[in-house]
Amino acid sequence: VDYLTGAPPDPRTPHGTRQRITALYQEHALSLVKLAKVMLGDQAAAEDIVQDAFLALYRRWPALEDHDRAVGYLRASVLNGCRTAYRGRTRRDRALRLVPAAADIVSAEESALIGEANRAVMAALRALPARQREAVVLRCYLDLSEDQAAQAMQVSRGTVKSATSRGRAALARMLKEDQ
Amino acid sequence: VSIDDRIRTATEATAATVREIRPLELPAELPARVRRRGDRWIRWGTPLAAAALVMGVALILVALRQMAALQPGPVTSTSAPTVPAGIPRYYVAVVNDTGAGHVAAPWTKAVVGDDQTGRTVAVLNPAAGQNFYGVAAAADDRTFVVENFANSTQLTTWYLLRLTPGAAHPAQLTKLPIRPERPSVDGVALSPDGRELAVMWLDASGQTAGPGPQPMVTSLKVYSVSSGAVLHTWTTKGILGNDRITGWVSGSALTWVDGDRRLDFQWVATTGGAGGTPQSWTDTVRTIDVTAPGGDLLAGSRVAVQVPEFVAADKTRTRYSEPCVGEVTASDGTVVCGSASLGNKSSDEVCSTVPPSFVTYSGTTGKQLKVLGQWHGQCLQARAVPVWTDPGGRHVIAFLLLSEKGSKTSPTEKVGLVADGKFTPLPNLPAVAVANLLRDRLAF
Repeated sequence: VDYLTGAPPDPRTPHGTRQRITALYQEHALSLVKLAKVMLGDQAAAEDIVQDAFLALYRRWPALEDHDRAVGYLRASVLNGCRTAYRGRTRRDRALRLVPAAADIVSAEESALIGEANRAVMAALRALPARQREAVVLRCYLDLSEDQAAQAMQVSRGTVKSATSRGRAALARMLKEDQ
Repeated sequence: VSIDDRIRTATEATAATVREIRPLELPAELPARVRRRGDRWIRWGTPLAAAALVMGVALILVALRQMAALQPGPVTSTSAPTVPAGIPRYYVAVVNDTGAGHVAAPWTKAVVGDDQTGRTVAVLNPAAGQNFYGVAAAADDRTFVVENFANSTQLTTWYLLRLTPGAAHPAQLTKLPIRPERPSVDGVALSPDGRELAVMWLDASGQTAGPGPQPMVTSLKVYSVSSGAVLHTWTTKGILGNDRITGWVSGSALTWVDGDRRLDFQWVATTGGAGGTPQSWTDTVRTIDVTAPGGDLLAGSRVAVQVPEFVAADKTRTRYSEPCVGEVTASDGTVVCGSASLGNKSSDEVCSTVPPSFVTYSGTTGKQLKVLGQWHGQCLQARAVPVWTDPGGRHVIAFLLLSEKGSKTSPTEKVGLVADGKFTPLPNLPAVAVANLLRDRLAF
């Protein structure tokens, strides 16, 4: 709401756009950072990716035809950012031999909060191929339907179904082997 | 417990560790204009044009290679510029694609280069949200420390950079175990043996000393490179007015001297004027014994050299000459000064007053020893800043900006070697590092 006039912000103006993007950030950023943290294990990188997603949305806002689909756009953008960061990190770590990677450093407090059993599940989850990892997280963590997950991953519903099934089976196998 | 339940429990536990996130930072500029339907061909045209360009370059390279193979003959090696013995061959420069020189500029990277051949040895890009912003070198021409600022934590971390020229991976970065505690620092120096890292910075004191700017506290810390442990800490005690290190624009000139036994740094002492504005100031190079006990930076250090005073050519100080800028201390204690002069478009008087020069001073007596090199032409603006010197202060690698009187071209900006009274440019040093002129952005 415009504090001077009491009118709702006009999304076509830069000021209105800022207000709309800021409101979206206040409502959805925390859950998106949590999603990115689950995918990457690194909160700093997760926050960077979410900031980048909102920045991209801000820049593309005038060209976005359906503003009601902004949350879906943001989720797809964050997943894409996680994919790129994951791929870039493994390549860079191999090239520069950086030790240890930020995601592997877990504070004592965080370690206690997550618990040993859950850490094993997360380590197995992050060892899955990217598509299986995304499908499993979207279906099991966010409780998205197959259609919603397909939209976020920008793949077909059948792909989500098969990736989720394979991911679950691979996780069950890895966790059984660990025990 | 089903596998779905285990995944749900683990992911929710991980997500629950995120409690706070930083606020959204939107840029000041307006969002992009609405793209018209007629512009949509750009979406297809751009990647197609890029693919065509890559194909074209590949074909040209293949053709050139085949042409070279058809022309047998004696192989002549290109001769590297003649460089005196003891001059470091490799450098690390911190640059960024935007050309901006501040810590907050995104995506800074470290460029490793060979100053004899002009070849780039490696380019190291930091991770997303990280920014390389400073560098220091050990004496072996192979070991460096790179300063990194993390956007998320707003703290500085350090990486050890080791060069192995000719290897498959000529530059290897390893994160140092030093605890991050500062957003940025004003001076950094790696000991000649690469085992200790000295770091210097300014903080607001939170105290007031009457009207005028808030007094600053200067801190100096020495860390062990291998363990990250703090080996020694010094700070300034009490209210010192505006007395301080010179700060981030020209750095603190922090340098190890006499092996790893002493540290030299630039210090500005002021005498107050009306309303808290400094009336005059004195530039000095102070030296502190690292092996001695105590934590008071000023009580533990002494003035090694008091450098010549700033000369203002007019009341507004818009035209000036500085006979000594960018002090660098050699490992035997000799201090090398550069100079700076700024005139206006029609006058060359300030350059005539203080010609661009490199001069050495004794760290023991404080007296001038030798003029290493001097420019004798007419100039409107000049800045000569030493970046590195050898143990006796005989050879200097320096930055030189020169705007000659009558020249219609932009000022010359080069990094080169000062030896035998001559300035010889070194090939292909990154232009951004030169233009920014910030100490600790280029190390040899």
